[in-house]
Amino acid sequence: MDLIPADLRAQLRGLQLRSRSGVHGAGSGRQQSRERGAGMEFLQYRPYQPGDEPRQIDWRLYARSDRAYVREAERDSPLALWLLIDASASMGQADVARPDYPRLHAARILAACLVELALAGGDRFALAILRDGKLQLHSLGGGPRQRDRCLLALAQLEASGGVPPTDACEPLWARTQAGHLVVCLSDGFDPALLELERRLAGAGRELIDLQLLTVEERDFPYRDGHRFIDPESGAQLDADGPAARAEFLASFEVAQRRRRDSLSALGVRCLQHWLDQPLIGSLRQICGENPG
Amino acid sequence: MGLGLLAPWALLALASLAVPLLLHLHRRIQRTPLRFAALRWLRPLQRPRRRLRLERPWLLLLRLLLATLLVLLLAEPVWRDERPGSAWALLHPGLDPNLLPSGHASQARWWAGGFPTLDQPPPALDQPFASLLRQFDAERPADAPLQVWVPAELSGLDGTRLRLQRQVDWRVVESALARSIEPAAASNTDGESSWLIWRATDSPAGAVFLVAAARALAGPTDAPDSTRGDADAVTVSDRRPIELRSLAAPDDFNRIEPTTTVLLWLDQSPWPAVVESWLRAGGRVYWPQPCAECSHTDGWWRVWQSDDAARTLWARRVGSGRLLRPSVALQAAEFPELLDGGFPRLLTHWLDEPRPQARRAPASAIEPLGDGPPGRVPPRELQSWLLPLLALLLLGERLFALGPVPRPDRSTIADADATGRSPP
Repeated sequence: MDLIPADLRAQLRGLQLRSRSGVHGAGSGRQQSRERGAGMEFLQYRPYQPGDEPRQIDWRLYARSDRAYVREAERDSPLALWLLIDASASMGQADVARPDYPRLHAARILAACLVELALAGGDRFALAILRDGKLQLHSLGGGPRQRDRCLLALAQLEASGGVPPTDACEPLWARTQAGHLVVCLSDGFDPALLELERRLAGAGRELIDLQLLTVEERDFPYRDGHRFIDPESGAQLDADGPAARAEFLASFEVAQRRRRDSLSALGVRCLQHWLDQPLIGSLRQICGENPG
Repeated sequence: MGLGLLAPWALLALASLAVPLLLHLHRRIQRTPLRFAALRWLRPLQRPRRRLRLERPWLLLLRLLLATLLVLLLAEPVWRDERPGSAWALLHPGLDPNLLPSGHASQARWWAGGFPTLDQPPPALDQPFASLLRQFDAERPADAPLQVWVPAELSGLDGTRLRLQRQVDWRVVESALARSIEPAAASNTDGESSWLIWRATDSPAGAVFLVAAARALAGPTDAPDSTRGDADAVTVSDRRPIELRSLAAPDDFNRIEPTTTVLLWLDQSPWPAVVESWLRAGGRVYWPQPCAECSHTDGWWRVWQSDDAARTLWARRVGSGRLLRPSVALQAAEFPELLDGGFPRLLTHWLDEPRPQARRAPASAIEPLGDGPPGRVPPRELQSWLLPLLALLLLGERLFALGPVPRPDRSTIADADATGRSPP
C-alpha cells in the first residue's frame, strides 16, 4: 500500500531537504558543507541516481563508459534526518467532515514523503515513534532498505496511548547528535513532548516542529451543545458550541503562541498544518521554501 | 356561507399542538460525544443564548399543520351554504321532460328518490311523492323558488295535507302523460272479498245473529226474508258474497275457495288441517269460543272493545293470518251488540282488514300549503376533502422527516488544491 498519493509524489521531485547549518560527518551527501578545502578535491564517482543535478554528471566518463556517474569532489556532508512522530491518542482525531483522515494519517504521509526526500538526497534517516508511553526507535541509516523499513513501520502505525516521559526518551537523546535534523510531527498538546523538544533543541539538534491541527481547533464551528471527550485522558466536558467558541479560540491561540515562542527562543522552526490544507505546502515549508 | 363545527369542543385538542413544538425545541446538550483533544482549553458548560431555537422549522410547521387538520377533522367541520338559492324544478316521472320550458334557468330534477338529473332515464312511477316533496323542500334554502310539475292524478301520498316551507309553483299537467300511471295494486278490500261461514250442530247460541248479519251483508236474495235484519244498517258498499256451509261433520270440510278472506268457524270443535293451513297462509278466522285467558302478553291484541269495556274482541297472529276470538260467550244476554241494528257494520269492522289510507288524489286538490315548518339545509360535510389532504400531508411529513438530514457545516474545507489531501 502506497502511503503517498501519486500527485503528491509528482510534486516531491522539485523538493530538496536542507539543513540550516552544515554538519561534519563522513560519507557522501548532497548538503553543502561550510568546510571548503583549498582546492576541489576529487573524492569518488558514484552512479547517477534520479534526482541528481545533471551538471554534476561527469560527461567525459559518460563518453568513456556509457554510464552516468556523478563526480563528487567536495566532501559533501550527509544529513541525518530524524522523524519524531507523536502517535498518541490525540493524534487519532480527524476533521468532523473527514473522519477517515486523522492527524496521524497526515503525519504518516508527511513522514513518508520526507523519507523519500532523504533517500533521494542520499541522506540517512530514521523513525522515532512515541506511542503507548513508549519510544520506538529505528537506527539511523540510508538506502532503499532503510526506506522500506521505515515505510513498513509507518504503514502499521496506529494512534493510541500517550507520550512517554522525557526519561523514557533517553535512547533518542543518545542516538541523535548535534547537527542532526529532527522533524517533529505532533499536535503539540503534550507537555512531555514539548519538554523533549526543548531539550533536543537546547542541545544543538536542528528541530523543525510541525503542529498538525484539525479544522475544529482552528474555527470551533460547533453549533450545538456537545459532550467533548479527550481521547488521551478520557476526560469529558459538556459545552455549548457557540457559547464556548470565543473563549476557546482565544485561550487556544494564547497557549499555542506561548508554545511556539518557547520553542522559537531555542531556535526551533515552528510550523502549523491544518488538515484541510494540502500537504505539499507544509512539505515546502519544511524544505525551507515558500509554501506556494 | 361559512365554516361550521359540529363538535366544537374538540378544539380543546389543539393543546396537542404543544407536542411537536416541544419535540422540536432545540436540546441544549446533545449527548453525541465528540472526540476533542484540545479539551483543556475548553470551559465547561457555557450557558446557551437566551434565544429559543427550533430545529428544522419547516418540518415543525408541517407537523403543526398536520395536527391542526387532525383536530379540525375531529371537530367535524361542515360548510354552510347560505347563498341565495337558485330556482329548482321537480318533474313527475310520468311526465315528458320536454314539458319544461327550454332554456329555463332553474335546475330540474326527477321527482324520485335521490332526485336524479333529467339526463338520467325516468325513474319508476311508484315513488313516495309526498315524502319526497317534503324532503326536497326541507333541503333547499327557503328563498329558492320551486316549481313542481304533476300529472292530473297524483299517487304516493300519505295521510296528511302537504305543508312546505315555501309556496311552490304547482303545475298540473292535464294532457296525456308520457307514461301511463300504473294503477294501484288491487287490494282485497276493494274487490271481491267473500266470507265463509261454517255452521255446525253445536254452534253457540248467538250464531244465529251472526248468520243473520252475514245474510244482510250478502245482499238481497230472491226470497224476502224477515230474518234479514235491518236493511238500513247495510249499505251497498258493505255487501259482499257470503258462503254458508253447514255440514254434519267437520271432516267433510275439505275446501276453501281462494276468494275467501274470512272464515267464521261457528263450531266448538277444532278445525281441520285444511283450515289451519289456510289460516297460516293469510286467512282470518273468527272463532266464537270465549277466550278468557287472552291477554296482551300472549300476543293477543284488542281489535274492538265495547263501550263499557266488558267485552273485547281479541286478535292474534297465526302465521300470516289472524285468529279472532271474543272475550265472552256469543250469547244475546252477554253480548247486547248482537241485537243492535248496526251489528252488520260492527261485524265488518271486526272481520275485515283495515283499509289503507288514501294514496291517490287529484293533483289540483292537493296543492301544498306554504305555511309548513322551516326546513334546515343540511350543511356539506368537509370530511371527504380533509381526509385526502391529511393523507397527503402525512406522506410529505414522513418523507421530510426521514429524508436527508442536513450535514454539518463544510464551508471551511478548501477545495483549491486536492493534492496531498486524498488518502491512499
